[in-house]
Amino acid sequence: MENMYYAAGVVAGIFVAGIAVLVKKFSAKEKQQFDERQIIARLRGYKLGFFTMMIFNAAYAIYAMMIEKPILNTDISMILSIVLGGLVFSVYVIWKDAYAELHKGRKNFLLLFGAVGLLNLLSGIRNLEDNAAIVESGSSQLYLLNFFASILCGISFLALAIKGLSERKEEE
Amino acid sequence: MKNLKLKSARAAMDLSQQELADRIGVSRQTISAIEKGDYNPTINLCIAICKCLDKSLDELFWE
Repeated sequence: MENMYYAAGVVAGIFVAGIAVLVKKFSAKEKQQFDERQIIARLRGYKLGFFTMMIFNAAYAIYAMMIEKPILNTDISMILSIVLGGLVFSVYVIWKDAYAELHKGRKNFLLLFGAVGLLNLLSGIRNLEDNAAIVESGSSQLYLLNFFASILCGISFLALAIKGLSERKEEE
Repeated sequence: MKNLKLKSARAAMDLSQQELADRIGVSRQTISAIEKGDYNPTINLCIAICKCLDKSLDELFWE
């Protein structure tokens, strides 16, 4: 039952985040602006992310066929494939300087990734302290999602920070 | 291959990569990538750069 509430919380969170993104997109005065190199890099990033997702799903299908009761259940693997695809996209695009629009710094993204990653990590640790099982009767549980999200944000944060530092050196 | 002609034309006009990028509406990293030879710009961007630096396409982009 608790797991159901958790899943409902995740769905509600995704719904609210989706609405917030849509509201921001339609209320923005200026259109998102990327230059031609950034657009190409973003398209390559989408393609890489998509193929990562497909390859992970194919690998999971083979794994699930070979093992009677896989530790990674189907729901979690679906979400993990999306997280992996998103991670590949964000790291590639950050590395190609195409994450932020023209004239927009990376500070806001650093803050966002840092805060969301930290909150998810704290939430995951709190779940563990409350004895919520990450693996129950041989199958992974939804509580893993907090750790997935914190890893996604953490790696994106690191990529942004490292790219920022290397660029500062280049400018000097 | 590095585009040294672009770099020297920019330097001759005393423009930084950021200033040139702002004038033609691209990111500084795009100018840097063109100068380093990591990115092949479209003809539209080449023309915009040439107009800004008061050079011809041949002078900046033809080898």
